[in-house]
Order: sequence, then structure tokens, then C-alpha cells
Amino acid sequence: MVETSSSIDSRFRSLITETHEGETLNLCYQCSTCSGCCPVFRYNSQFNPRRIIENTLLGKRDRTVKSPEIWLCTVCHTCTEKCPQGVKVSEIIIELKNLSSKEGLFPAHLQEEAKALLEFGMVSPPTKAILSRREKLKLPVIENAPPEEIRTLTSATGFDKLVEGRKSEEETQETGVVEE
Amino acid sequence: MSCEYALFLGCTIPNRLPHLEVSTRMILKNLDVNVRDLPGFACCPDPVGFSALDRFTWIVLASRNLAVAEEAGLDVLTLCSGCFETLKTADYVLRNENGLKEKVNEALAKVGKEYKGTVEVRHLLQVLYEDVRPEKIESTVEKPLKGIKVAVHYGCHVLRPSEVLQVDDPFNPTSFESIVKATGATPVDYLKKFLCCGVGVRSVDEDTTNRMIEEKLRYVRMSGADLLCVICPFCLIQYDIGQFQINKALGTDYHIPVLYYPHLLALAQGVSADELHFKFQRIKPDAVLEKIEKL
Amino acid sequence: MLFLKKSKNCKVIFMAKIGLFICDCGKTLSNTMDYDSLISDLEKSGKFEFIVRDSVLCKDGLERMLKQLKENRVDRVVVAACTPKLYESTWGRVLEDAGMSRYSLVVANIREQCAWVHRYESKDSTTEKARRLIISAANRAGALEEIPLEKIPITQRVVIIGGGIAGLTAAQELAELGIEVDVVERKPTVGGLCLELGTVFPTQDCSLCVRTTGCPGLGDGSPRRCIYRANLEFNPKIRLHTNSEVVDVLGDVGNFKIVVRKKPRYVSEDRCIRCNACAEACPVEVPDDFNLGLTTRKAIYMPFVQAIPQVYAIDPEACKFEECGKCVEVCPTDAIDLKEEEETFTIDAGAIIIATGFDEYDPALVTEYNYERYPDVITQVELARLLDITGPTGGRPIRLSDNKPVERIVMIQCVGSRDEKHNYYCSNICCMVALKHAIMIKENFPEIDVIIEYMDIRPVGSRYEEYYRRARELGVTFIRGRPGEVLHNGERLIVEGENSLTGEFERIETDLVVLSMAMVPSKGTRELARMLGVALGPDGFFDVVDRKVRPSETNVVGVYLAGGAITPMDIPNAVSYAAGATMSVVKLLSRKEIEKPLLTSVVNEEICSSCRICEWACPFDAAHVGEEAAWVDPAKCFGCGLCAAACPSGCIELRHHTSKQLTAAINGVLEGDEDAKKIVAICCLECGYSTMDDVGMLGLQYPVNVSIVEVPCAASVDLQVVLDAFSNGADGVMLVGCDRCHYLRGADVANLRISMLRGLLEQFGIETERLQAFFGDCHDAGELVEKIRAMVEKINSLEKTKSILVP
Repeated sequence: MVETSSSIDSRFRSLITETHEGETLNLCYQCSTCSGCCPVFRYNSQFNPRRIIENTLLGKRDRTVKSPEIWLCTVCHTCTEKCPQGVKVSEIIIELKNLSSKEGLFPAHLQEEAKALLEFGMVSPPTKAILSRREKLKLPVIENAPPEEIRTLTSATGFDKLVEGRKSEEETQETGVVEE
Repeated sequence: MSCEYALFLGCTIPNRLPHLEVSTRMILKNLDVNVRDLPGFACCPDPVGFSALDRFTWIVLASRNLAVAEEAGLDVLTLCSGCFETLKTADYVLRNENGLKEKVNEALAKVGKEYKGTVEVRHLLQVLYEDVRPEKIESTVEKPLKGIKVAVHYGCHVLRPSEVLQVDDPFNPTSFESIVKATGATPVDYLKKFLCCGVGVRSVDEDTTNRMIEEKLRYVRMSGADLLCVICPFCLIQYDIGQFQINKALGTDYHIPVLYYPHLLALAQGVSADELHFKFQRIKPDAVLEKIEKL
Repeated sequence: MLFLKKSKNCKVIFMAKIGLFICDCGKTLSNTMDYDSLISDLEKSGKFEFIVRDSVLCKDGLERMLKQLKENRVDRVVVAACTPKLYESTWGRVLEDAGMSRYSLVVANIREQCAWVHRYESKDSTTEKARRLIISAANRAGALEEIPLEKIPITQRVVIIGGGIAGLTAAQELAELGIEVDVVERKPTVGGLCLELGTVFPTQDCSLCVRTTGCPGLGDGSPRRCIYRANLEFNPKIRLHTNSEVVDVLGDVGNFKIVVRKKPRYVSEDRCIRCNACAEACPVEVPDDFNLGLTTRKAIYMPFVQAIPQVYAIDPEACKFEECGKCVEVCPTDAIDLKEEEETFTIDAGAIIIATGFDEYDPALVTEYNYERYPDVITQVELARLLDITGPTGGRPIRLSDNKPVERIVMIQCVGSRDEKHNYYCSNICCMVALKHAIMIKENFPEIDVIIEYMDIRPVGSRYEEYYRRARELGVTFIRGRPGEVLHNGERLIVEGENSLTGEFERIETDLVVLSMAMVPSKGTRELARMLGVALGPDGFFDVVDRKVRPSETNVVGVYLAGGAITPMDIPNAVSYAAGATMSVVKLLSRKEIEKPLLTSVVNEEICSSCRICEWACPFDAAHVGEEAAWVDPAKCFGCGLCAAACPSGCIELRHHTSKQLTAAINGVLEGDEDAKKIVAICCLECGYSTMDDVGMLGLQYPVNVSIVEVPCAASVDLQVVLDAFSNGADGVMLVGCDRCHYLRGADVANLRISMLRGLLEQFGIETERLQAFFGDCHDAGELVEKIRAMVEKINSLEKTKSILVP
């Protein structure tokens, strides 16, 4: 599907530059050091951190916030570490992911992880089998936080609503999100 | 250096790879590092998935864990790099981002907690290298692993972003090699040593993850190393179970054992392989264990 | 602790006889001012020996002025007329012609800073303002002191530190003008970086050519000549000190003492006849670093084919000395002395030129390109040596790992440049160097594939764009993208990175990787700067005293800069800057001695407590604390007054701008109606005063409450002077200065002082809004007037300061 991108909106970038981690966005001079050292880009050129930053600077929401591309970031922070202008590339991509999540656009597996956290207070709660293995290994019984406490906090931050608000694949199609 | 640490296990080690916990507790004891199991810890939560959904919630939940440790007056020792990045970053941003601490504590107040910012968060690697020191580690070694070639894999979340984590030089670190040398083994160099294990992208693009794992293992094999040594359970899962998976998916034939550092040290401290329960790992380290036996 | 008191200087006792000339500017100023009543009031004040009115004081009036001064002897002269910026020096000459010092003159600006800015005020109040300005000038004149003239002898010799292209150009030019030159060069041969470069742009020819001296075409031959034939070694005016380094610099302009340490060469420059017998006999062979270790040389060697001086040198790390001694045996002129020791000597010089150039940034520090790990990763300077026909491979690029031929070369640009982690600046010449090399390779070895990985291509310089086009024409591949890493697959190097123009990840196999390294100040820059008192810029290079109009002068009088020591630059620029430095030196040395009017700071040693604050304050390295007290070196002092104002004991005064004179001037403008609100605008004589003049010239208006007194720099205003102003009747004080201080540090220091002052005012219950500051330049005339008007409005709403203070 050939789509024309939206026109340039330099004000979009203020959504990023006004955050603490995103202040450095404007310093980018597109040298591509980030892409050059990105472990994902080397195998999958659909994920291109330099291009994501460029599109963010130009305010192209459909290629950033609304694109599944940003979810390919493995958050290894190599780009941030190597950037010669101090642009916090990986942190900016996290901000984009946050904006995307607010619109209900995030991968299904993260919704599952989040739901596990909400239910058990842990993403990997102990199963009966593991508890038994721990016993055999003579490991102590660990008392974790009561999940209610976690739920209180996630309710206070609105996280629970965010998790619930994930848009399904059909809904995403309707909003015309760029496909890979 | 603290007299006692609050041991932050996270969830992956205790609830998926408890044999890592076994060796860790063993070596900590042998090295006279005191740890306490505090009740009330929850998921860190992980720095890849949760920060992506909502950074603020991620920081709040992390700060909650820090508050638990702070109440007990203990610094935190993490065994997993993911937990380390989460907790250390939360501590760092609360100190450095204007107004964030107040907002976070506003939320924490709802569960009767507060984080004042007095806890130090340290990774096992740091504690072993900076506090215990390689000399002390060496002194507890009964069976030096002479001639065993070890490829070390730092992973990402213990080194970067270096401004926050402050563990070692992000481009030329030496701490992991030092503590490996302390066991008598020889760290070997290999290409793409700092390549990420790819766990963060596994669920979104399995093909890329597989190829990342394959490239790393290819260079480790080329280097002639006997084993790959890691300090993070996710890296272990990627290179252990992941190795098995890529052999199937890509038709490769890798058989490189992957050891979490405490396992390596435990072997050097004379602990028998049986006590270390390698049966829970996919890639059996039989060949290298035999080599070690013969030493 | 400072306290508010009526200054003892309030009343000026006149010992001096003062003559007043008052101009009405072709009678135009009498439209706004009543000259008759003005002159009458001034006569009544009794301050003046005579008052002469004129209409054209700047032209015909000059003669009349001279006649008046010759016939009526006075000690000081006040001229009330237009801005001193126009005719102060002209009137000064008139005073000199009349046998007076030009420093006995004070100008009261009653045109640009009175008549022209108060057109809509009442004639009476404008006239009154003019009266106050004239009284102020008279007060200042009465407090002026004699300005001694110091004769500074100028040693007729120049030391040039660094014998590269810039240093040598300066040496030749100076020698041609008959000036004695000493060149101090660290290496055993002069020539600097150029020796390693082979072929250079923009002429694509030998890097060893230098300018010929004399005028080409006027019987002096061609414009350029090989360094070998440039008569550097035997020029009677030039002394070359090779193997030498500057270890200390004493003295100052006109009388520098440069201490040089010379490492032993072990071969006498006088007796070596370059027969090569020693090298042939020498049993020790070592890899030749100059040729990337690809060839060998002996422990005794000629540093370079066209080395200057043409004398062998011994490498002390390779040589076996007495254990061997074969060279001594065979030398036909007994030129070798294995026992030679290090020598230290001092050169007296009138001026110094720093021409120390730059080095390549250490490539090992950019770890991702693995320079240390892989021998086939080299730098552009190393490549230049390879491509040099006289180099180790006869000009052919080879794989250094195994000597096999090269099929592909990848160049990486901006390594360590434009990078906050290494060097933030652009190194200027690397794009051209890479293009030059790429073109050379393609022209001579068309089968070699050349790829340049870049962020931006910057061929800045006259017609340098030709290089970029030629490179493309020859089929050089350009990939826009900064590589992430350089690896090796066992056979060849691999360069990994994104091609940002296609968005693809590239893994490029190559035989050689050439790093275009950043250029950094040469080793020892920091120490040398400290020795000389010269400032360094934020990039670590030597800083110039004004980047716009004085690009080769430092903040230390008598010390100049040439070439790459200022910033990385190409040869045409290095030669050009060297010529500029030469000009500065010649101006200095062309007089056997300089008569310097000592408009400089003086320390009262009895009060000085050696606190060293003056050392901190001085931007020109002129203030020093000795064993007993501080001392301001009149040879280096620029007359800005920062030391005087900073001194907490008040023991330093700047001649011709003392606090007494300033207070006297301020008291003058505060005279008159006790109930009227008065604001003193203390303006620096650079942008401050000029902007105020501009205000007048643009016809902008402000109320008569504001009167101007001048200081050399806004930061030269003592705290006490401002406090005294308030206690003597000022209701407001505004400091006006340059935002880009012409004395380098003034704005910063002034701002500090203003904060302190505001704190003090608060303590005394005085509203801090009474103290304002404005830093700008002449573009800001409009903004300044706005600020003045706002301040007047504010002050008018407050009480008189006097009513707040306890008398």
C-alpha cells in the first residue's frame, strides 16, 4: 500500500523535547552512528533508529508513534552511548513507545506481561512446580509483595486503564496504521 | 561496600532458573558477602517492556522496591542486569529529574511508602569486582580453572547507559574479565563482544533475535572458547535455550555451554558439578566439565 | 567591611589651572542651550582660568585654540563640544603643539550626550545639564595626574617556537627584513607535519615547497622553491635550533628571555658533511617509524632526505653508544660525540611567534575502529606517507598486515571530530585531505576501489569544490553514514554501518581502512600557554585576543600566533597567518624602543596584601604577585582597570582613570538642584559610550536626569565608587558596557560586581532597582534608551536616596 506521509509538523517534537529524557532530540545531525551500531538494524533494516529520529524531528506521527517499527527496539542503549552529539536515542524511542501506548498501540505480548504483573505482582510468578523445585534445591521461601499493593499503584498512575486500552488488530487497521 | 545487602532476586532467577540462585548464594557465602532476603519485593519491573508502556509507572514500581530496601536500611544487590538497570535508573532519575521525586512519592504514599533516595543499587558484577576484589576471589579458589578459555558477555543493561549505571567503561570494560581471571580461567577475545543478546526484541521479531544469537555464538566458537560466561539470566536464556532453538530454526550446530558467572566461580571453588544442577540448562556443559575434572 | 560614607574626595581642591573651550557647533547648539547664561554661570564658579567660546572648534577653531593655549598657560584643558570619539586626539595634538601633554585634556560631551538628546526638555534644564557635564569634566581634569612615558627597549630578535610551514614562512619573511630570527624546533629537522604529507592540496605538488623570499618577478626568481634550497640553514639572519624545546619564558614584550633545552644530537652540526659513512658502519637497524615501520633505518640516521639541517642524528633509544662506537671510528671529520649532553641556553628576544601546529588525535581513543588491533587500520597522515613516492612503498598503497596488494580502501571521516565525547569542533581540513588522497589513488591506481564514509563533505577554501567533483568523476564512492564498527574476518577488514541515503545496513569488506582523524593542539601546548600566560580556547588551541579583527594576536603583548597552532588549517592559510604575525612583529621591532604612555595600573605596595585577586582579574597576564607585593607589568597592561576594581585593599589604581577622578566626575554631574532626581550612567569607553553617542546621533531622546561619566571598562568600576555615588546624591546608577567585552572578561566580572552591589544596597535599605546594568553594542541604541526611560520613571517613583541614608 503506497501511502503519502503527512506534512511536516515541527511542533510535534516538543512533545518529546519537553520531557526530561527527550531534551536532546534537536541536537541530532543525522550522522547514522546509532544505526551503525544498532544490533537490530543490522539484521532488520525496517528498524532504523536514525530514521526514527529524523521522522520525529519532522513530526511524522504515522512513521513514529503510529508505526510498529518503534517496537523493534531492544533497548540495548548502544545508540545513546555512542551518539556523538549526546542524543538519547533509546530514551526518545521509549518516549515514542509511551505515546504509542497511550493510543492503545502496543504489542500483545506486553499486554500479557502487564496483566501478569497486575494479577501476581510479578511477570513470572512462581508456579507449583518451581516452588517444589526450590524446596528440593533447599532455597528459601521468598515472600513477595502483595499484588494488591501493586494494583493500588498501577491504579493511581492509570496504568491499569492503559493496559486495558490496547487496540486489537482490527481496530488498528481501521485507524490506518502503517504496516510493515 | 555494605556489610549487608538486600538481595534482589527479581522474578526470572527465583521463578524460572532457581539453580542460578543456588550457585549465587553459595559463592556469596564463600566470599563473605552478607545478604538478606527482604519480604515485600515485587517485579522490578523489566526495563524493556514496562518502560515502553509507561515510564512513570515503571519508575513508581521500581521506587517501591527501593523504598522496601530503604525501610530496612539496606543497599540493594541485584543478580539480574534487567533489575539492575530498572532500580538504578529509578534511583538516578529521582535524584536528577526536577519534581519527579515528589510525584513518585505522591503515588507511593497510597501504599504507605516513601523513597527518600538513600539506597545504593549495585550489580553482582560490581560487588565482586569493586568490593570483594579479584584478589579475594582468587583466594577462595581451590581448583584454578587453568587453561579454560572463557568468552565473557557483559550484556547491555549492566554497562549502558553509562552515565546512569556507572559500572565500568562502556567501550573498554575490564571488570568481568578480571573476575574471570581470578578463577584461573583465561578470558578470550572475540568479535562483536558487545553485541546485545536480543531478548528485548524476541517477542516482536524472532528472526532477528535468532540471527543475533547466531552471530554471537559464531564468533565465540571462532575464538576457541570453552564456554560463554554471562552475568544476566536473560542473556543466559537467550544463549542457552536460544542456542537450542536456533540450531533447529537455522540448522546450525552450536554446542557452546553458557555459564552464569557464579557457576563458573563455584566450580573453581571446588563445588561439584552435581551440586550446580546443570541439568536445568539446555546446552549441557559436559565437555568443559570433563576438562575441569582433569585439572 | 565597606560602609557608606561621604567620600573624602567629594570636594576637589584645585591646584591646577583649567582652561575651558566651549563650542556651539556652528551656533546650532544654542537652539537648545543658552550659551550666555551657561558661560556666565561657569565664570561665577571660579573653576576656569579662561572660557573661550567657538563655533567650529574642530576646524578653524584649532588654530584659535593653539593661539589661546600658547598665550594663556594652563595646566589642564576642558573642551565642551561634540563626542571625544571624533576630535579628542586632534585636540590632544593641539595641546602637544602648545607644549602640554595630551593627557591633560578632558572632553565634556555636550552635543551627542546633551543637546541632541534633550531637544524637548526646557532650554533651562538642558543648559543646566550642560553646566553639570562641564563641571564634571573640570573636576576630573583637576584630579588628573601626569602620565609618565616609559621607554621600552625592544630586543631586535624574534623567537619562533615551531619550525613547520608557518614558522618557517615567518622566519624567512623576518630574515628578509633584516631581523634576527631563532627557530626552536622539537624534532631533529624543521619542516613539521609537511614532511610527512608528500603531495599537498591545492596545487597537488610537493609539500616541501616554501615561499621564496623577495619579490618574485623583480629579479628574485620564482614564487616558490624546495625547502632544501630555501636558504634556511645558511641564512645569516636565521638560527635553527633543532632537537630543542622551550622550557621557560621570562620577561615580557621587548625583553623576553626564552629558555631552551636542546637534546643531544650526538653529531656536530658544524662538522657533519653528510657522507653517510656512519650509517653504513652502524650495526643497529630499527624499524623506521617515519615510514610506518615498513622500512628500517640505522640508529644513526638522516632524519629526512631533505632534512634541514643536513646533519645526521642518533636515536638514543636504539644506539649502543660506547659499547659500539663504530660510527665514531669511520667519521672522517670527527663530527660524532657520543658523550654529548643536554644543553640549556637562553635567547633574548623582543617578540615571540608561536607556530607549534597540530597533531592527529590519538586513533586508539576511538575504540570502535580498532586502530591498535588491526594493522590495516591507518590514519590519513600514515596514508600520505604511503602515497609519497619517496615513501616506504614507492607511493603504492599496500596491506600493512601482509604486504599484499590493495583492492579496496575505505576512508572514514570525522573520526574524533564533531563529537562531544572526543573533540566537539570540526577539524576543517580532513575532508580535503581525504579527497586529495582519494583522487591520487584513483589517478595512479585506478583498479583500487575507494569509498569515503562521511557525515558531511566540507571542501571549504578557494575552489576546493573542484576536488569533490573530481573525486566523483574518478569514481570514488561516497557513502553517507558514520560507521558503527571496524571488524576483521580473518582475511579482510569489515566496516559496518548504515548507508543513511538508502537506509540499508552495509558490511563492507576492505583491505585498508583510513581514519580521517581530528586535529588537536600539538603536544606541550598547555605547558607553553602557561609559560607565556597566553589563553587557550575551549578547543584547547591557543586563543586570540579578538577573533574578528586580530586573528593572530594573543592576549599577551609581544606574543603572536601563526598557522595550525590557532586552529587546524591548510597550507595557504598557515602561510597567510604567518605573514600576519610577521607584520605584528615588524611593527613592534621596527622601533628600537617604544615609548609607551603609562596609562597603566599602579600598585601601592605598602597596602598590598598579596591576595592575588588582581592576578585572577587581569585578562592579559599583566598582574603578578611577587615576593613582597603585587606588581602590574606596564609592558603588558592594556589599561582596562579590572585589577584596580577587583583589589579589595584598594591599593591598585589605573592611571588616568583613578577612583578619585571617577568620583570627582560623578560628583560634578550630581551638582545642582538638590531635589531633582539624578541618575548616573557609568559607560565603558568601548561599546557603552559609543552606544550613548549613537543614541544622540539617531536623535533618540531621554530625560535630563541621566548624565554620563566614562570608564575604560564596566568592570573597572570600584564598589566604593558606586556606593559613594549614592551617598553623594545619585538616585540611580546604571552601568553600561559591551556584551562582548573588548577586554575579554569585563562583562562577566561586571555582572559579579553588580550582584555584590545589589546585596550591599539591600543591606542599607536602598532599593536594588536603583542599580541597573545594560550590556550591548551600538545596534542596541533603541533598547538602551527604552531602558533609560524606564529607569527614570522608576526612580521618579522612589524617594531621593539621600532621604533614606543616615547623614
